[in-house]
Amino acid sequence: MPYFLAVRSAQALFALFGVATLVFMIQHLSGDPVVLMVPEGATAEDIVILRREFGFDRPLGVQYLDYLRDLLRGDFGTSYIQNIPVADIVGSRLSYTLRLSAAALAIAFLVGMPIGIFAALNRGRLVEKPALALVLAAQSMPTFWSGILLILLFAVTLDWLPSSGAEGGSAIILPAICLSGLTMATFARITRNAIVEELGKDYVRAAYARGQKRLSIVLRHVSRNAAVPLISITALELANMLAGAVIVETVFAWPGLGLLAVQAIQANDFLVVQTIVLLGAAAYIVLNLTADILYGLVDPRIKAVGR
Amino acid sequence: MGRILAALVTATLFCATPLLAKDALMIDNVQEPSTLDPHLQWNPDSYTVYRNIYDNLVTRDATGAIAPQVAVSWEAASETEVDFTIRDDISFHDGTPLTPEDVVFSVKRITDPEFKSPQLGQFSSIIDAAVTGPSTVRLTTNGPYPVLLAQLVKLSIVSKAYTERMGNEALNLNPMGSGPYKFVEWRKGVKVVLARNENYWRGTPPFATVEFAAVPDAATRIADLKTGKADLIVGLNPDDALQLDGSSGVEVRSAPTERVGYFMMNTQAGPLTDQRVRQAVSQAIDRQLIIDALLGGFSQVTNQLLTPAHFGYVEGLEWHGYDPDKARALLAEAGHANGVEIEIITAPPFDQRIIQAIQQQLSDVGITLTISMSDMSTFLGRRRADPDGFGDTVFGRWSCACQDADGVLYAMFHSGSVWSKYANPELDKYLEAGRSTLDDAERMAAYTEAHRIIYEDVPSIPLYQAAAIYGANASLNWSPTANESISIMDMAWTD
Repeated sequence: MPYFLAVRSAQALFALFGVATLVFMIQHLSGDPVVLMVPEGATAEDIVILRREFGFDRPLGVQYLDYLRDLLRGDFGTSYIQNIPVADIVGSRLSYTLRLSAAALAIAFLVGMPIGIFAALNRGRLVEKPALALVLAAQSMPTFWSGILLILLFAVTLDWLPSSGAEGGSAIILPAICLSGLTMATFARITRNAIVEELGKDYVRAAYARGQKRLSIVLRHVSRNAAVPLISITALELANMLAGAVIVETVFAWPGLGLLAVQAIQANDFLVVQTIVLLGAAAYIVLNLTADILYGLVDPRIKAVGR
Repeated sequence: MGRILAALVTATLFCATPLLAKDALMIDNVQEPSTLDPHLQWNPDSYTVYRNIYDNLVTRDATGAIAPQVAVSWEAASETEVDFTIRDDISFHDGTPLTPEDVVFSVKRITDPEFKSPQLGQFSSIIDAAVTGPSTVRLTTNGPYPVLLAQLVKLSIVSKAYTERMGNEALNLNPMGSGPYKFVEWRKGVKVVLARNENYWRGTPPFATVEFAAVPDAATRIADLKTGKADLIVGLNPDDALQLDGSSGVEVRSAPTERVGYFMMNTQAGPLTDQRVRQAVSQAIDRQLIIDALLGGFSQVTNQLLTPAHFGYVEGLEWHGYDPDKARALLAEAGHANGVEIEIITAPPFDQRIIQAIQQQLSDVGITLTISMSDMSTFLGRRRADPDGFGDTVFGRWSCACQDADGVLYAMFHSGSVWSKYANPELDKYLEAGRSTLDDAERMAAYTEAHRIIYEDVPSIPLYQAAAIYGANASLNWSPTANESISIMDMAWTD
């Protein structure tokens, strides 16, 4: 296990380094950041002055090494546009994204798993159909549309919940429901398929033979085995949410990382965009690593392979 | 269950009607301010907020004319020197008086290259600022600079003592000015809260508090307006405006701005070096149809590359009318009877529907317009490139935020500008004349000639004067202005 952890951690670090390099290169390949900052009609001299002041006239290699050194120190730089440290800007939005992701994930679990179990236990019966229809709808409705529908119904027509923003405890409800849709559908499908598969296995038949009730078999034995694919899906879905739910946050004006990313791209605030991309990549890598470790805890067979 | 539902619906109907005169004004901007440091960013999301915190050296009145604000009066001491008399009854929010030293400090701060302001180019003609008396300031320019006052409309006056004591970062996060509203709080990504400055020198500001929220999605801003969460929303397009029609208690407000929609052509490389082809392009485009069909009739056709909001706008000018037959004849005459291919460079921020409409209209006369879409950075690289690397045409909405012909025509057409793909010594002469005298009549004469050359030579086609569209609570008394500022001092609830 320690060896397995060390190898996976080294791989994770290497991946992060690759992402950092890629982000830097893409940003510099796409041209001169100063040109995007100046107003229409700026003269060539104005542009040269600003480029020198920002240090964009130095050789690319020097800029790259500086950038890596600052990253290692945990220094993400100072935003060209806002003139304050990028870490402060991104940090101020992190808690909103964490809260929204946690709420959405909770909804996805609490709704998706029971639907999946229900559908698996009633496979092929008429009662399964509405459950599958709900899953299909949650999966296929684009969030920019379902978000507006939620706002029109619950904010404009019924006036139960605020239409946008992050003020008061109730503001999180609509964006969380909207964001949870796809993940909920994924959980439901994965749960259903995993349980259906497990139900056909010998140990289930053995449990029936021992006279156990079906529900107790599902909850005590089957669900544990069916959980393995769910772990990796959860890690991916959570990483997706942490990287910024761009559309949901934009529609609901929820001030998380996704909205910040959009704002930063529109304002050409490169360092902020770069930091969000790095953070998103780090979330993916760390959560995948966590999932790998959890597999080992849930299913000893996987740990054996790792050793 | 049915009874509960009925009760809810009834309650909803009552809640949904906008509340009567309240003490807080809620405004939905598109994004949050990039910064509240008034010397750094000039984008609408930022200045709509900070211009209510600060006073500016001069301002524009309801008619658009330049009017006193911090400066009571001004007088040219020579061709390159202007003396400003500063009001002595203005106090910053911390109680200290606003002095000529603060004005000089503000000018020097924004013109210091080390400060790295993207607005530097708008003020770089000012080479010196000095206190010349207890209430006078002299600004020196690097030559006669007629646009000085128009640029100074954008100069907010910050406190020298506060800025030096707190530093640039603190000024951004805790702005402190002398304007009608005091800064209270900036909840990052959520809103900026301002409170009334009870001691404001121009009178008591209308609302106790004002909040600017960042709501990027137009449909959500409209929902905010309808639910009464917002009293004023910005950045609507004509389709959004339709959604507000017929809703009670809210209405659409729009105003023509100083943004000019234009279709510029490369006169120095490719098929458009021929004036006849350029004129054919112009006569193939039905500008009124584009405005009616795509811009909801909110914008207006303009026959010059300026709007009535600009200095240098000449009343009653003509432009080559829509005439596809004439366009085909001109193309045949130029040797393109079998059609001609041209390219347009563009990027996502530009309204692609207009480009596609132009593409369709050009194809009707035999011109094939190839759309080259790239990211903004690549686009700007080509936009500023030599004529050979530019492509043939570009569509845009030009804004110099100065409402002066110099900010548009010089940058667009002078042979020395990186944005220009046109070189005409005669036009250069008039553009230079227009920026090197303080005499308004001489300047108007120069720009009248410049318009004539542009009309005859067609290096660019003026399309329309763009409109800014807002949604407002019907009981909010306010009319939008050409410079897209949101001056809370000019608002009130109607009773």
